[in-house]
Amino acid sequence: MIPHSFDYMRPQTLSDALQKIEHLTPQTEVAILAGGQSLLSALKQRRTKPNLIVDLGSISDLSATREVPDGLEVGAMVRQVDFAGHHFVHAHAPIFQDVAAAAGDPMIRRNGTLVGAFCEVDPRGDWVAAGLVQDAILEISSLSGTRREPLESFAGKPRESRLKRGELVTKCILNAAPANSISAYRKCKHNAVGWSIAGVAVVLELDNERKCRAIKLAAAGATTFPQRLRALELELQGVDLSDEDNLDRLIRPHLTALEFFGDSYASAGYREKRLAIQIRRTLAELTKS
Amino acid sequence: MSTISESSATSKDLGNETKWIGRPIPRMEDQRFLVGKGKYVDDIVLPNQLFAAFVRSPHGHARMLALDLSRARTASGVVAAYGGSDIQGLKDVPPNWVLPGSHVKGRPALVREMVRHVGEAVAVIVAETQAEAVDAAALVTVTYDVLPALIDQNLALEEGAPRVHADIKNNTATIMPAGAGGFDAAAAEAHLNIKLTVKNQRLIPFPIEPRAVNADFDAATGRLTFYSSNQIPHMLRRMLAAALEFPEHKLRVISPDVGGGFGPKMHFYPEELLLAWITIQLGRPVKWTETRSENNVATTHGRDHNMVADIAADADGKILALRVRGVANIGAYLSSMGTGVPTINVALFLLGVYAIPVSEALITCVYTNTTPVDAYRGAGRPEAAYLIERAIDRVALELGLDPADVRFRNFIQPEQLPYRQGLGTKIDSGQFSNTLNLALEKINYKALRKEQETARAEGRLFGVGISNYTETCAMGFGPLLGAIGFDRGGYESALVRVHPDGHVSVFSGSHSHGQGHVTTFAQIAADSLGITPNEIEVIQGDTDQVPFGTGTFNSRSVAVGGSAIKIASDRIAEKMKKIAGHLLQSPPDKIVVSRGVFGTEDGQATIKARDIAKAAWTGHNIPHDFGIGLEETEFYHPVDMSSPYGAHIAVVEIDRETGDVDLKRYLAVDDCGVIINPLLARGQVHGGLAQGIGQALYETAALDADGCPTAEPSIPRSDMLPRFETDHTVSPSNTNPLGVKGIGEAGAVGAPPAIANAIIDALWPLGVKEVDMPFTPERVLNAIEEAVSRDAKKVTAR
Repeated sequence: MIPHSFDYMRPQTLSDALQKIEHLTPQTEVAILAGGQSLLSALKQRRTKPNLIVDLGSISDLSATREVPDGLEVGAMVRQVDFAGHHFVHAHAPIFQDVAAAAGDPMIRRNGTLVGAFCEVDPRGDWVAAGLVQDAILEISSLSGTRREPLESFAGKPRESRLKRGELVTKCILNAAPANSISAYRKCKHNAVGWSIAGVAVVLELDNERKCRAIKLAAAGATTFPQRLRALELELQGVDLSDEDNLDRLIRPHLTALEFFGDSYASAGYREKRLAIQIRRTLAELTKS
Repeated sequence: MSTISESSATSKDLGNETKWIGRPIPRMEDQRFLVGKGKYVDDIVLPNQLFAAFVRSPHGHARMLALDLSRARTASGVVAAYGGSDIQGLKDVPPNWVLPGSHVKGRPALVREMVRHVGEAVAVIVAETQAEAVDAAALVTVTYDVLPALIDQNLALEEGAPRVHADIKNNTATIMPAGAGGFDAAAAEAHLNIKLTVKNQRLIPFPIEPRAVNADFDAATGRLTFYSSNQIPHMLRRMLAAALEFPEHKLRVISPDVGGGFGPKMHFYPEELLLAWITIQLGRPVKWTETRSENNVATTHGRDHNMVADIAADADGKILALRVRGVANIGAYLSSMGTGVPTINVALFLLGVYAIPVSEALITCVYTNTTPVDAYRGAGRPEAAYLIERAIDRVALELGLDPADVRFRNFIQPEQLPYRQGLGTKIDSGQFSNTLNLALEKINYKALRKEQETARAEGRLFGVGISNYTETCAMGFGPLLGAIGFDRGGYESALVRVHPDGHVSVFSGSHSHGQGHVTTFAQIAADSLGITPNEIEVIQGDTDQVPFGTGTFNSRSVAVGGSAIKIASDRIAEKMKKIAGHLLQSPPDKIVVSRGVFGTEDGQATIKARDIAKAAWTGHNIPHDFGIGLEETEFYHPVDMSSPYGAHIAVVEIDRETGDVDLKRYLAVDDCGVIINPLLARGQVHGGLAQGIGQALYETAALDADGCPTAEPSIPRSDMLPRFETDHTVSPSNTNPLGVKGIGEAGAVGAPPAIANAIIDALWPLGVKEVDMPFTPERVLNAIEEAVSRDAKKVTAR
């Protein structure tokens, strides 16, 4: 379990880091080390063989969280456990507390970063689905400036076209969930690795008759990438979510068009079935609670 | 809800402060493990250390057209690189349990031309650092002509199937018949005839510490010191010496702390032979520690046995006759016990603890393009128990009878013991009805059946499953092992030495790979010698220190190794009494021992153990014919084995929509005879249950079409297991002086059928009669959906 040899840099400032990755030869394959929870096992198994690793650990600016009007900025080096314990999460984005209880284990959450999980967009991961229903936005910097991109559009792109050369995701901006909304993240675990085989993130607002007034819903684990199910969200508006038979009829057709993946533990077909059940049960649970 | 109670026998002993056997003292070895001071093979770094890295085949079946080591040989730090053509003359690694008449293919140290399983080593690189060895291995290029791989043993038996080895017809290594026959005649008269198909899937044993070897040849002395994470140091020494044609007296095998074995660490492996050969070539020590990915493909797998049973029963559920046909996958080559585990260890035990008048079995061992299959916790007995316990339940369900009642009707009765089974094993002792009754009472079986009625009325799937596993442990009798081609002894060694200061060393040929021998063995010696366990050091795993031993497998350490310690210690105690009698001027048979003090019965005269020891080792004040010293060696060689057994009950509820199995309760009532340390015995039950429940619910190697296991094998973690409820009965064995039986494998043997029976009990009303392990949600849901759609078709047809 020894990685391929590589060069290693630990810049002290963000501009230093951006300088480094801007001025690389075209042949240099660079990997960014934040929390390292995906990168280190990929390195050890030689699934990835970068020539250069840029470690963000010394850039103190990236470890900061900052409250902004109706939102929270989370630096690229903020660890998942610290993020999940932030009072903003408690008050305005409690779905991330659900994720923190379900994702990885204490050691992974101690080391892993929220932004790192967003950048990785692992289809089996838990954080991205919650980020999608909280309308997370990524801030991406390079020497030529800074741009912002919604997590949803970032996650929907093929891996190689998410970032241009010289770009670094430096923070994400989370919006507060609507007042009086309720939320949940529920998953079915893969028995070998604890990743999700079907995960659902929901932020829900109910009207006076406890019908769905507005909903944001994202899937993880089952589909080839984590995604908002926007057509289903539209269809669920005004629906009584406690009527599980009706919900089931509404949900299933929306999943047939999605692309699912499988393995020896849970096939793509099973994941599709399981996702439908997971969505229905999560919505019913939220409505009845 | 959970009760963990001791039997009356051990509770009584707890009150007797001078007796250590039966007391639940904590493990004395744990301190160093808990503070990270354990010493494993990988912790050993020798002067001039070299490191080895292997290049392994990604293909299950291929012809190697070219192997190019040139870039690796010139890479930084590389000292040597070898392919199959560089080690000509080096023998294949032989198996050491070969059923007579078997077609033997040992494991080559490196591929010569044909690759026969994923993970087979094609080259080895030796370098100054581990990183350099691994980097250079990545520079090796191999050209393969990839051929279709034969993975499934039943397909490998079919007419016209390709051959794994060109000279072996039908890919068949051996066929073993058992029993007196007569099934057809008995079945013709029977009220009920059933065919049952069961599979024990392939499992990856997964010790936390993978294999590790450090081979160190000293040219000056001609001695080879060989460190290996191994369960049987002396057998490794004998096999390694024979393969290398190396003088055995100059070969020292040391197996330090071992981080789990479960069977796979008792075999002799290609990497071991190769590293020993390399250190002799280079004159420098060479170390290799297996990676987790290598462990998945290069270390032996377990189980992979398909069976079809014909069962004939009367209307009351009494089984009249049983016929079993087994087809076992042994992988690409014979690993050490490759032909023995699926045949002897399965067939002999197929009748469980039941008196079944007519029985026959036929087991075929088949070569395939897969990692060799060998012993894994239970080693054949789980397969046997799974078959017979599923069969009993099936009879009950078909006849609408209670599975517990059907068991009572079929049990071997107390007056029949010891009982020779029709398929070969001998059950030494047991109280099968009592043990099951205790289990039924503890779990409140009647209430569970009521709860099941209620659940079914509500459309919920609720099931209760019983298993009355047995296994035969504590191998065994040498001549018998010889007759079945098992090239090992059945004895165990103990050397007990009382030092001049009264402290004691116990050297045992058994070797702990996590069980806690240091504690249990010290308890046994302490009782014989009248001292406390912490005055005793137990030493294992070094062939230069320990008399020739047989090692740890088959749940034999306490029954055979412990007995050797007891006998040797008792002999020393006798001599100490003799010396005490002389020094205290009292007849030796009037000397009593308590807490390290020897004294006359009236308590008037006493002498400390250390003063006796000093007298023994100086010879100053004892008669010449007493001889010098307090040291005894015993090679205890049992004539018979013992049969632990138990009654396990699982309670499940299944989510009809997702197929999720909720294992709500698990009760294990085991009978392993006299218990030396209830805490450690329970630890063994817990560990065995984790692996047995793992096989039932989670684990599979899940080989792909090339024979490559899943990169992410499932292993049970504590949050995937219920709280275990345990208890035991005590039926002392008369096959050894301690009255003990084995407990190490019990949970792994008992749990799979209990859970399978519970799941089928839950699904039976839907029409599900068979499902195979592991009972993953998808598999269970498929079984439900198939049964429901069959049912729907029937309705439509009407």
